[in-house]
Amino acid sequence: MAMQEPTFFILTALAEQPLHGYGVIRAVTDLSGGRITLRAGTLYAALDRLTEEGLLVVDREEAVDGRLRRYYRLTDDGTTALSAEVDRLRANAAMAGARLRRTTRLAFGAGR
Amino acid sequence: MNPLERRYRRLLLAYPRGYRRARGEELVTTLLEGAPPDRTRPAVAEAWDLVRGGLRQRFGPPHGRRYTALAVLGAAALAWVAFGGALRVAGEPDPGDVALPAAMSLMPPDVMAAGRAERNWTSSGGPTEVEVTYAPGSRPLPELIAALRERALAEGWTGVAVSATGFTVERGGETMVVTVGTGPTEFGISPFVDIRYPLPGPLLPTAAAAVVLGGLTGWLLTAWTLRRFRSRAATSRLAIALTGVPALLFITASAIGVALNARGSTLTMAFSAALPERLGLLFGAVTLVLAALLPVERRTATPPVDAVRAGTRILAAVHLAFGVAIATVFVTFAVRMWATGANRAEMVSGFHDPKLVLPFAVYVPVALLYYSGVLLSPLLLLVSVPLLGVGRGRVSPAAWRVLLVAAISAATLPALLLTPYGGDVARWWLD
Repeated sequence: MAMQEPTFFILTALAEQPLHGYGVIRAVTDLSGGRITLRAGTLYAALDRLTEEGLLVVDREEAVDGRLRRYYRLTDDGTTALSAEVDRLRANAAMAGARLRRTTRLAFGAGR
Repeated sequence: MNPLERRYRRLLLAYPRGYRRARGEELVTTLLEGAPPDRTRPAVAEAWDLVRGGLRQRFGPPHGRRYTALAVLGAAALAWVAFGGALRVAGEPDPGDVALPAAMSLMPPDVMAAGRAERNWTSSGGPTEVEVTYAPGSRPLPELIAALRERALAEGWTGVAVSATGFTVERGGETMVVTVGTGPTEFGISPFVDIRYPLPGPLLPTAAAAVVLGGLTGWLLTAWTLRRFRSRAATSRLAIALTGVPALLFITASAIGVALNARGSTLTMAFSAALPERLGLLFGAVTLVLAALLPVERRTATPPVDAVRAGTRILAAVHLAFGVAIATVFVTFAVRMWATGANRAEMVSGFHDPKLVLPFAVYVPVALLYYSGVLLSPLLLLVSVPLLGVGRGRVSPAAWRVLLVAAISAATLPALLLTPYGGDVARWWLD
């Protein structure tokens, strides 16, 4: 089943390094070119679900200015899930690209 | 604590306390880090997102389409039960008592006729619909229609309209649409009268309120059960599923049975009776008790529960409970026949009512298990037969043999009810 876009970006954000809540929000905004802005309630619902599914775990906790920051990282299952999604997207894109090229060529052919 | 933080913390009250304890501090950090320096109040969209997240934690089913579908089904089931309950409580005494004699009085007094009256769930405040079916080879239709209409006028009804297939009459604000036809009648050659009377119009608001309240309660209870289900160990989950699924199935079956019955089908009679609905509610109540009492899974200390072993044990127990109940019915029948010297025809005549033969405290559980067993055994066999294949070698030989015996009993005992002798036993028990 296709992964939902916010889920995809959250996993992508964590693929490189462990991040805390606000770190994830900022990374997702950057990675999606400002298209997706996660709100805290939505983010934590997703983190809960992904943790429960075993795709994420808590990496460590830090106290910054007396505030609790919890860092998350991808598990092996999480990496596998993200790779599978990447393969799926790549296959889809390749297929669509090939079709488009064929139609464009045909259109040019007809114009000549 | 600055005002913004206080406001965020107030919004977090939407979440259940346990969740706030686990996640609250972290959420506040994330919210404050994300807020621009000049912000003093949470943005509206952000506040709504938190409230929605909190309400979902409190009242929503776990994430996933299957859970949502179950919660919707639970809501629909309880909406249905509340609907029926509200109509029974608020409704006037059965208008069928009025509609049936009124329709039957149209039949000539020297003609044997049989009839059936059903509430028409699909309309409210409409006319009473009467369908008279004569056996093929009766007098020509126009003659039959004219004769019925004449009797209606003699009974004090006023003619409103006549058509090629029937007529409409009116009396004291009550309208009756009579359709006449020929075809197979359910009781041999005598004409058959099928009456559908509508839901009283004034009850509609009560019924609508009951549907909304019932639906809401059903949603909340199912979502709560599913959330508990999610965090229980495998055996507890199986127990909750084995009571929760029948609860939904029984109520759905009764709803479909009643709805089809109201449209004239007699195939679903068994399900439109009150028993399946009550069984559904009973199973539902047991599910809620199980969900409340079964402990949360402790992930660390206890070794993981083997679903095959647990399933073998539970299915064997359920099959055997059903089997004992069905066997009890057979044995009671045989002993009663032997003790009183009655033959099978006398047994089903009604003189040997099982409710009087068995003490009430025995009769009720046996009846519940017997009925559930007859309905559910074939379904459970779909699970236990594959389990026999999977479990061989994985569970102890003794447990495997018990399940084998239990599965055989679950296949043979209900099948015995299909034999002529078993048919008499079933009829005796249900009468």
